[in-house]
Amino acid sequence: MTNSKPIAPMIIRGQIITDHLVEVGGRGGDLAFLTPDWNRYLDKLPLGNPTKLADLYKLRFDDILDYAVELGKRLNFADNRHLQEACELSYLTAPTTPSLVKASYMGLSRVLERENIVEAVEASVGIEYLEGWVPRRLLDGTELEVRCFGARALHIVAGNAPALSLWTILRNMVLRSDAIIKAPSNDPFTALAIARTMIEMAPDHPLTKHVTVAYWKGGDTAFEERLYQPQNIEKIVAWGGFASLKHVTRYIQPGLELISLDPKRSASILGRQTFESEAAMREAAVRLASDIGALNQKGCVCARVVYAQSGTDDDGVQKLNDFGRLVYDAMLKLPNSLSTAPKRYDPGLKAEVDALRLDDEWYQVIGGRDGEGAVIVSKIPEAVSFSAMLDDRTANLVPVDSLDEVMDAVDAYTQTVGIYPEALKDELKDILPLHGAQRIVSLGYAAGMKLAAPQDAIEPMRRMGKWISNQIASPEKTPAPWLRPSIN
Amino acid sequence: MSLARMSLEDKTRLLLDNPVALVDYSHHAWNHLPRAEIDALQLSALKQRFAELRDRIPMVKKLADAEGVDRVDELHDVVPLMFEHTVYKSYPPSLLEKRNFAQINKWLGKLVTPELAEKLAAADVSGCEGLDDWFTRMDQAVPELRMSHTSGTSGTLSFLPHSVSEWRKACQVRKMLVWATEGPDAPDPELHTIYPYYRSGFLSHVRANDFLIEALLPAEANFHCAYPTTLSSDVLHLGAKIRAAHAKGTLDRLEISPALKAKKQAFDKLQAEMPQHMAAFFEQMTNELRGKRVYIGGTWNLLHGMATAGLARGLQGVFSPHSYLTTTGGAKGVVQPEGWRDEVQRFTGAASLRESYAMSETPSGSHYRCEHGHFHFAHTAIPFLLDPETSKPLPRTGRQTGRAAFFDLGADTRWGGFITGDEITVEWDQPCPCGRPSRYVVGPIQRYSDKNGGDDKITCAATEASHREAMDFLTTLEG
Repeated sequence: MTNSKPIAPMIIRGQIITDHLVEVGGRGGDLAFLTPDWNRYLDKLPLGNPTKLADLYKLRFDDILDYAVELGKRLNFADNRHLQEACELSYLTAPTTPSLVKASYMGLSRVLERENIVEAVEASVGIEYLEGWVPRRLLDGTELEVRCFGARALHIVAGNAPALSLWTILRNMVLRSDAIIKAPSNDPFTALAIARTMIEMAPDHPLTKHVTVAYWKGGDTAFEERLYQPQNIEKIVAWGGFASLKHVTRYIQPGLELISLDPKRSASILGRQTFESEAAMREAAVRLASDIGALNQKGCVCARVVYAQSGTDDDGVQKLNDFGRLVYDAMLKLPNSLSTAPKRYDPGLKAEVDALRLDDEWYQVIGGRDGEGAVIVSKIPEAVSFSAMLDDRTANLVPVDSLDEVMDAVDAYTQTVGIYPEALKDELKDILPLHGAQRIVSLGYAAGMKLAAPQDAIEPMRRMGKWISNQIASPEKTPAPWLRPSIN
Repeated sequence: MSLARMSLEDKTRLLLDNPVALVDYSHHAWNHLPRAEIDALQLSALKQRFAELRDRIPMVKKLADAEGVDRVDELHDVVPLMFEHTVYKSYPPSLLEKRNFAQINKWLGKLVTPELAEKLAAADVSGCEGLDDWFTRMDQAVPELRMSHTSGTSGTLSFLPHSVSEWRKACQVRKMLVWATEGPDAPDPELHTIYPYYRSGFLSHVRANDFLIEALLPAEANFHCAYPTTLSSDVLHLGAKIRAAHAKGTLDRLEISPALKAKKQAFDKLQAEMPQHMAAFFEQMTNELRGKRVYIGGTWNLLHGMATAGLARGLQGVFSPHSYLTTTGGAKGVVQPEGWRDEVQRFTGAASLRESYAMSETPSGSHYRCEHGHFHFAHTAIPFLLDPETSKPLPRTGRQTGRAAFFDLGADTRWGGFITGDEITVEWDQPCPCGRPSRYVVGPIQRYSDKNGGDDKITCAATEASHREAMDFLTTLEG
């Protein structure tokens, strides 16, 4: 029986393990798969001795780039059977639909283009800090050298976009870190396929041998308590929902740092100009549809509540209604590499949306009868009570009269704010961050997250490294502590 | 007229209007109504309710028109017209903030029959300062209704427009079971009720007190509660809003009126006085009520809280072993401490604890658990099982697991169709060894939201489940 189930091997530093299989997954119609019993490999997962990172320091940044670029070529979807297999299996586990999963797999090789990596690393860390000690002289004569070292890190990757596994592997490579990637149950195959490609390409290369990929059931506390220890891991990079992040915090202790890419949601703001011409309305509608529909709204970057300066009088609400119809139509026409009808419309959300449908006093529901996604137009300057649940291509357009009111769009959980037109951004970009916004983007570009940019109001790349200083001083150049006068 | 010779129409009318009369007030007959008879009566009753309400309740009409449901030939025909719980809170939350109760009444009017809607619209609620005011005013203005609300964990309260007759019918069934009557002339026993909470309030299960007193007790004086005041709905709502704002990171935007602050202070004062109230409550139990037969009904945690407090005072076996203890099953996301049932029984001395499966939205559906651990469906609420994904009905045969839904036949001025958030398993065919012919729930009752929240799937988008978690988390920080 079990022979028919797919196997997600464990990869420990270049070694592919398929023994001691146990069955996992299979809840709620999900794919059940086999994976090595993580408890048997607990002691092999961490890089016990940190001096084993030294082999990475024999590499120059150019060597790492060469490796990454070669890997990029081998991650060409058309001729990589690991990716093809993983893609097929991911159709069954992913929160998105096959065309979106496939498009994401087809885009993997582009992440590893040389110029892109150089740009991203230069912007987010500074290549010189990774290559060696960067000297400078301080006012008191001290010569200070700073260098960014790699760390032993555990990565709890989000399962909503396959590319995140590659981002993690790339960040790990350029930082010269050692990664244990905990594969998510809704994407157990992507990181594995990349790691297997690395093993085929260069089995003994230090970069290959500093990537470990394993699946274990999140919340297996007996297992996690032993693994998540400062002698094993220095940093935990966790993407995720509130429950999973809260769960991880129990292991944080001195010597073990949490880099938290928190649960987020995103919003949009449309200025008055949007509604002043038919052309502007049409353009904004297409852009907004893209921000709502991208990855079927499974990304934290996707727009959910949209504040529109359409005005709140009858005329304004009517305009917003017309605009909502344009957004809905544009959403249905998005390319299937960006958005499709959702895999499974959240029944809890459907209950909320359908309830609004029964009474059109305050809300107009456009679409959504067949689980394809919906646009809810508020007729009052107020978001729906269930705005935090918006998902599966469901957005809420809220009319406002003045820009003062749009701040309600933003709170401590807001990641991206898409703004239209461009000129409005300058008015808002110094205010929105005070309310919680972390990324401001031209409407329509929410899904185009950049490795070169900060993320979630932190710089994860810099945080993932260990920043070490070397002070060079002598009494001739720098006042010496032992030469201080005594006091009475 | 003898029931055996009564027509289906007449029996149907009794099931809808006076269910206890259908079995001639016999507790035994109620429990042993033959399965075929229940089926026939329920279908007939459903058809009647559909005919009466389909075009008269605006939200039902809108749904029925959209779904193209014009007749009911079998039970499943009504499934597309079932309300999700969200319907009862689909008003904009700002209406409450702005105390725009006139608009809320207008909205409620779409959930009830036109006669009631008219009265709701005519009620002068312009001066209402808050929920407590409004509920009180509504009791006077529309005496046929006894509105209640749910606890509103998401920050939004559901308003349930139950009619007085609905409450009364449900309590008459309760009376028949508690008194174990075998006919209309059963003598009034000298029964007391112990209630470890507030005397009154508008929260649904507190709201039932008036009707329970009326049905079960010879006099108001026989009702003994822990706190002789009204539970403020305004304070409850504030608590829900704070939790929601914490979770959204918008606590700084919360505006709190001076009237509400005053209520909060009154609540704090009551909290400070709680030990005295508790002492008096327990004193009364031990001095006046020791050994007497009592009725105690409440959520499991209220009962357990009382029992642990009582046991800590050294009290055990306080009441008659024949006392009637009843509690609603389901932990609502809280882990029930082991042995809570034993502690409740040890404290009260009651020989048994009657657990039931029930929900505020369908008051006629108190489904009692038999000695074999099965929750038997009340005849007054037709059970349905739906596919959790598609909401399509599952077959009414064999053993099926799905989302529970009910049609509350007691609902006479509002729509009885309601979809719960619970996953249950129903045994449709095999009779229960306890001898009750009715269908029943086997195994645990689980909330879908808890089930999904327990998953280790991760996406970086914040989910509603994560928000609920956040609320729990922040609540503990507050404490």
